[in-house]
Amino acid sequence: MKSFIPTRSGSLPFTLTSELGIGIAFVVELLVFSLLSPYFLTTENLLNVSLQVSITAIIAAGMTFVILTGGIDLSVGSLLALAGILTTDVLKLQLPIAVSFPLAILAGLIAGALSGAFAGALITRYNITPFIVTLALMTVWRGIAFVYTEGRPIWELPDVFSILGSGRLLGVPIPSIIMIVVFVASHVALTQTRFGRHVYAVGGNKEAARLAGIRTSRVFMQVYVLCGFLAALSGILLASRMNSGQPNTGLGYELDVIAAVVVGGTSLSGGRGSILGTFIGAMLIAVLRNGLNLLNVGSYVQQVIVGVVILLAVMLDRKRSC
Amino acid sequence: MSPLLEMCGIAKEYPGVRALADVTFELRAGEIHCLVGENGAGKSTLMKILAGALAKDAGSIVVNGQNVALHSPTDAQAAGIGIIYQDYKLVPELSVAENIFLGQEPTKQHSPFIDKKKMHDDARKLLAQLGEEIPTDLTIAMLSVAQRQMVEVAKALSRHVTILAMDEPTASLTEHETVNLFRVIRQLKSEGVGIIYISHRLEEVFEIGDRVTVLRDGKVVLTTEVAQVDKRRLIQSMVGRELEDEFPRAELTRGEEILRVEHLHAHRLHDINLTLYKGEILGIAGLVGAGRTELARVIFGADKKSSGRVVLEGTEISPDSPTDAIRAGIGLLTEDRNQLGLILQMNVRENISLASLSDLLAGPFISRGKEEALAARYVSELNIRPHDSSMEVEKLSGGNRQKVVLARWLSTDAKVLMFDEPTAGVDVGAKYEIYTSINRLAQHGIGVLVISSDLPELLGICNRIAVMCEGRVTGVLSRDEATQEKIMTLATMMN
Amino acid sequence: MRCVLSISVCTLALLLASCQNKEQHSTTKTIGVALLTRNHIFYKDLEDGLKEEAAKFKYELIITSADFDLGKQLSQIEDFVTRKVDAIIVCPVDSKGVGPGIKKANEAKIPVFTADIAAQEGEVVCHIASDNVAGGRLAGEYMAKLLGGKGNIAIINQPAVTSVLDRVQGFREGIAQYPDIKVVADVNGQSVRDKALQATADVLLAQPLLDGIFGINDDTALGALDAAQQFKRTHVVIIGYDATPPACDAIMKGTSLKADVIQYPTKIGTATIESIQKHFSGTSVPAVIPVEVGIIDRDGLLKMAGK
Repeated sequence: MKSFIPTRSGSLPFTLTSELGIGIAFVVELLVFSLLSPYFLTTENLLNVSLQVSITAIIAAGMTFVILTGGIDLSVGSLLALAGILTTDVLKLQLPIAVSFPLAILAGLIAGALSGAFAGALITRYNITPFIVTLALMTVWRGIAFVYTEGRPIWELPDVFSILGSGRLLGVPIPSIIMIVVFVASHVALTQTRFGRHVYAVGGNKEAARLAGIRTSRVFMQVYVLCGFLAALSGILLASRMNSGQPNTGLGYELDVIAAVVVGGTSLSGGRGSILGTFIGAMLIAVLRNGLNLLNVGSYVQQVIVGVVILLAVMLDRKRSC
Repeated sequence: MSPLLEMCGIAKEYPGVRALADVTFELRAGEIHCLVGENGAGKSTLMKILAGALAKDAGSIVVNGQNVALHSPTDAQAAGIGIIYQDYKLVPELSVAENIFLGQEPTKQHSPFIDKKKMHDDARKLLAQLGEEIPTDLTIAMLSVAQRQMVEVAKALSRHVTILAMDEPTASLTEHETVNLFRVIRQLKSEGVGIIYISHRLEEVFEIGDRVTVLRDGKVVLTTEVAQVDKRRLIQSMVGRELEDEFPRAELTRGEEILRVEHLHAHRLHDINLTLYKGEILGIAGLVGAGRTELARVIFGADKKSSGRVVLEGTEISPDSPTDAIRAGIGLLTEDRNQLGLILQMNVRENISLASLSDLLAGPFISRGKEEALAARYVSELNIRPHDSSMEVEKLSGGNRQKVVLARWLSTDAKVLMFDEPTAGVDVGAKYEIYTSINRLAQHGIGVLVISSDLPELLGICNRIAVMCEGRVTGVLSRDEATQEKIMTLATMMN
Repeated sequence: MRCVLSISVCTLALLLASCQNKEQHSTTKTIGVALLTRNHIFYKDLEDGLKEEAAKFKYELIITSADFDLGKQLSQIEDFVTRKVDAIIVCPVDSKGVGPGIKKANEAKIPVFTADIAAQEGEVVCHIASDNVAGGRLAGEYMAKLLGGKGNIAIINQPAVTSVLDRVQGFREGIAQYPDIKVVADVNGQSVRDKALQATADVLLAQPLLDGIFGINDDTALGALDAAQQFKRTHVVIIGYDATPPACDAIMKGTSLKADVIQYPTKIGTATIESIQKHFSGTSVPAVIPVEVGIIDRDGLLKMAGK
């Protein structure tokens, strides 16, 4: 008789093995850089990495939901720029800062959520594949960002705004804290709630999920709204770090984000993966970039190394899940 | 004369599960050797090893006196082994001819271009050998299940197989189609092909088998000439105990009306009128394509109706989606549990709770305790093996998978439950457990509707049987008046 | 629904097209302009210079942007050849890669002028650009002055772009005469602010004794400034390039961004049209017209504002 093996509370059993592989890779990476660079294993550098990774990691959390349903969102990089621009532009309105500050944040976040809703509607109503819808939106939002700003940055912002991206709480950068909050909330949502279960079900087998009584369109809608919202949140934080709205920020971020999710063990065909995996995936890539920079490795060589590591991480993962 | 195929001492272990232990299986040329056993007994594992899709842990495989190493399906093909799986391995978007010659397309001499004419001619010839006239340019998606099977057989023939294994080939076939399939199998046999025939329908073993091997818990418990056993002995070796009866007896009392369908029209359904009572099991019989599944899907809100009424407990309902139907108290256990029922990546617990998550909430969160309890209850009640609700359903056998879907619907507060082919591809022991559950549902006052192509099954468990033909209900028979002949007459009654 | 959608899309497209048409008026000569991008302030100013000067001579400008995409630029040049424009101005995406496009124009006997970035293949009548080497040298000399001839420096670079290579070469020349000034890091900031920020953050951590940073353009310098401020390393002095309004603002506020090389992109634009006008009128034009650059610090900006 096979003994009953209890699985870790709140998570699907298969994620354990796939996270283990990437987790080991991550630990190895930390060890290697600790040995090679004296600056790597310092509190300041680790906080720096957490700050740097926060921007893509927050989006990657949202992207995990989308990819779990078997979809993709390519518009996040452009959306990040657009949300930053909207927020900084509202800040420039002649309003008392106590009004304009929350209003600006709200404007950026709502824009993100609306973009997600728009993508979700196109995908579910008109049955267009997510890849195409979000590819189109990627260009549209980027274009609007440039048209809106005429290609120039929005600057001369109130200094308070920079607190969000550059401030620290108990020594920890605020974006890092927000990232942790986002990840904990996403993990709970994905593993402990009906919504999370529905995301896995829809990604695993859409028709079976529908016949089990799940409103699949609503689930698709929700994940794109969530992803758009988190992309906008990232955009606001990045704008705050630079204390300006830049139409050319976030170029190519969608690929960094997708890489983090995939390296984290989430299957591009949906139904399989975890938030914890995405977190480690994002950290793995960020630490790699940081470590290579600390070692003064040239940028061309870096690109090669990052690509190879992504491949290796995914191969390791596939091997484990076989 | 040495046998065509000898598998000796085959063993295979999955983490924590011993799938096969010291299995020895032999096949002679021109022989039909049946392989039976309950789900999870190891038949599929043995076939996967033979197909080169799975590596064995120990043992040897000898074909025509030659030791062969089967590391991949290509190796198996080269050894003359062909396998026809239960879920066919055809590409739905490609044509019949393209599928038959997939991977070995004939090309014009010294050119990379496919010789389409030759390909279609050869495909037509192969099908003609089987007595089939399927247009070779149709795509697989346009074919019936029986036709797809014939394409699979033709595909195997095109690869010059001498050993052909067929896994549950009649699971989705009508009686007529089954007769045709048997004709083809006998023809292959007469040409010297050795056939491994896997089936849960023991009648078939006696109809076409020469020898039979019974697997139980990964071991061979019996290999014998078919002429020397009877059905009772076979069942006994399969389940390891005496089975009283194929169908459990239950006293059912018909209550008041619960579901009424009036003048229902929809795609492929014409003017359907049906009434279902509480505590009743209503069977729906008919040939494949008669509209039985369509009817269930429309009632369930999965497809749209064009006109007519569905009345549940005196109130008209018109569900726009399965979500609405489930809320109203209607459940549907779909046919094709792998495509339409289960989320294979999820585990047993998560699959069971999927339709009743709203009852398991603690605040905004799913209560782990309640969910575990629910799953544990059904795992033991339905005897889902292994007794581990954290097992991924992907690793479960067909019968156990079906029990998982059944558990999902038992855990909703349905007033009406519809079962579409609930025992297709399910072994004798599991069948009995499913029938028992269905009986219990009816005894609790739930209206049960069972769609099945297995006539003895309908006759064995239903109070009444409605027969459909070409999208119409052509008759409703009570348990006492129904016979296989009467049903078949109604099922083939064209306007 | 579908119908309404498609009609509205068509209407929108037509509206947009008609807006574009308004800019047309009767002209004598048509000049095709293939810009590298329209998203950088520098190129916006260059474009303004072109338009301003072209208006004087009533030249019609067809302005396109390659958005850093060589393939796109080549097809834009081919389109100009097909349209038989009277001259082509190119700001190459890639100095070598643009060659085939220029050769096509050469075959069609359409004169080609390059602005800001030079081409290495094909025949170009005249190349009009800032003297980037001189600009880099000015930055290097100013850096040496700020540091008192001694210190560790990082370059936030974007290799592979000729103008940037020139700037960095000039910068290194500028500091060469001070043996106590060392370049301890040279990283790729990809010329955009968010990426430069991240790259600088890593440099600051790896180099605890850093004294100065040279950013190869203003987005880069401002990204470096963001990083320096976030890590409270405000004693690290930064010099930028281009003197865009946000950079000038940072210099005026007394931040660690101390000075900027100032290019005159508008002048590049006007000089380009001038040389084309000369070419049309048959006057000979020199092969290279260097456009002056300067370096500007807080005092310089205050003087400018005072005037």
